[in-house]
Amino acid sequence: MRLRLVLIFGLGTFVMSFLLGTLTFFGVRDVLITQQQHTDLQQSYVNAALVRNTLYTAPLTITSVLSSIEQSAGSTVILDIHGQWQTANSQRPDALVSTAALAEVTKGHVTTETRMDATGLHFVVGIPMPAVETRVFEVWQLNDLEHNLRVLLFIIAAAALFTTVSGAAVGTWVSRRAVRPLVVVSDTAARIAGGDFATRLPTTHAGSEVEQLTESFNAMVEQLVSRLEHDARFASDVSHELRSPLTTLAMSASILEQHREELAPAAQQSLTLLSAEIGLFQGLVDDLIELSRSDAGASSLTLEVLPLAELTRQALRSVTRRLGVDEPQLVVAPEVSNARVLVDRRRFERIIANLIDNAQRYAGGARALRLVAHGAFAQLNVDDAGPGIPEDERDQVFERFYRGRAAHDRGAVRGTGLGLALVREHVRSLDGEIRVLSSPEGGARFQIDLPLVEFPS
Amino acid sequence: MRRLARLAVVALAAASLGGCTLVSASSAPTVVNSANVPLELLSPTIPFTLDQQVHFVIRDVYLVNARGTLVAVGRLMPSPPDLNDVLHYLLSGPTPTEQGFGITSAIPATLAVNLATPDGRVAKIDVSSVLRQLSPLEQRVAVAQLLYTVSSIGFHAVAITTNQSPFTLVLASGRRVRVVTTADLAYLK
Repeated sequence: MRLRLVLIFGLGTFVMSFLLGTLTFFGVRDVLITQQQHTDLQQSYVNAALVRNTLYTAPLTITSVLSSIEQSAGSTVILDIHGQWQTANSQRPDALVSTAALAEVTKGHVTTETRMDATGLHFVVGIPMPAVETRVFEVWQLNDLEHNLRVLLFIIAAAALFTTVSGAAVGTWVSRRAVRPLVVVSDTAARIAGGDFATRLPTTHAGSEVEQLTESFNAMVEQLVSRLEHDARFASDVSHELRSPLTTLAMSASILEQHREELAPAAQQSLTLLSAEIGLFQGLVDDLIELSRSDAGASSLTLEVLPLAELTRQALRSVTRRLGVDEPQLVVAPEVSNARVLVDRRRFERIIANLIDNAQRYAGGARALRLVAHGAFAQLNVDDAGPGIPEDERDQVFERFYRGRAAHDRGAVRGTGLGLALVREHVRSLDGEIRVLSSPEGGARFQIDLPLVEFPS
Repeated sequence: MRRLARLAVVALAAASLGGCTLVSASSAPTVVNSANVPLELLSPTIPFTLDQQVHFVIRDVYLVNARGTLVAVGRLMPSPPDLNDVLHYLLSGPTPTEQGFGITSAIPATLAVNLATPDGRVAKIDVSSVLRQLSPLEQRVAVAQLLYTVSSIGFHAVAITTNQSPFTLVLASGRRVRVVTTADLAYLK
């Protein structure tokens, strides 16, 4: 939009200045040419009269009179007396006077003609004077006029260029002023979309339309935040309400597990299914409660500066042991071997746990974890052994209860659908970023950037 | 590619603008309305006179070619030309073009005609004494130039004086004459 405004202003001023310059130049050019030729013609009449008087009164002095005319007027005078050419400096007349002009003057007509030759541009006036049996041709140089017109053209072109540049500059200024509120709205909307629900548009005095937009936008955000908080509270309340009966159910199932041998085979199978479902349900409720706390900003954050490599190693060992899976390889690049990060240990472990669990459920397990440096960030890459995640699903996998094609197609073990959503919430709470890429080894790569406290040495 | 094409167009326009003239030449002469021509320039007679006109004729004046003999060159002069007119053109000497062909004059540039009057078919010419300073041969050629030049307007002899003193020309035969006729110097023509 800004570029378009600048182009419109620049192009508009260019067209206007071009038209104005063209009209001015051609108008002035016509006036100058007309004036110059009128002046030359009138002077030619006067000089012709002087030649006539000289031929009448003192014909033997005609050569000196021609010389004096040429010196004072700056022109060249050629006489045709009784068919004999006569000039002050023996100049060839046929080079300066056209055949057509000669013919017209011979017929008794005064003629004017603009001619171009190797010496430049000339204005030639031909005057017949039958009283002295003479034709006078006076040749005026137009090179000065041509030079002046070139200077004028240059000045007009320079002015047009300056006006165009000025127009583009004004367009830039206007577009910047016009677009600035939209940029602020866009940035604010992006921050809100990123989870910063406390952000609002600043009140400005940039005009009633912008003020109205600001008020409407802020009101809309208030409504949305209120709705989200209401939903989060509802989910939290429901989860809390479900927790007690679930605990009772889990305890009952546990008691039944202690007496499994006494149950009939069919009852044992039912107990197994019941325990699994209760475990899944408990996981779901726990995740929901954690997300609700995070949404409400009630989740506690205990930040510590910890060595990243060691923290990752411990978390990985703990998680794999708890989940009962093989511990994937941890590769630490030398530049981050001593790097430290400001993290909440519990959340970091949860991130590792959920990613390992996700890989185990849907992608054949985690293949390797790699720690590398990336500017002011440490980058943790978790590569799995699956087929990878299609590009169109990579943003959606972090949505709550989203189940990708892998979960549907492969008949994987059912999860809560909240694992990756929690991972993203925790990463954000640590001022980090998470994204999904393709691993060079073929599977999916979950890449997490965490800000470094101490740069690698 | 398109950017290059645009640059080429701009450069071409600038070059053509720089090369062409801003004042265009006429395709044909423009005829001025006769009613707008001032000072009666188109009048067939001289204004404020009794219908007078000036006509011109071409008459010969005699100069000297590279072989030392006389050569006739045409000079435009008012019609009818008088003695002073032809003598004026004779004393003006050859034009630069004629000089290029080796034509000169035996009459010194410092020679002045004090008076020239017709006496029947004899032209009486009083000149400055420079004539006497010439050698006899140079005097014969100079007098021949004067004689044949005035003969182009009808005279057949000249009687020369220098500052009112009679001038006697010694002919190649040794004969001394005061009135020189065309027959006396015919060998120089």
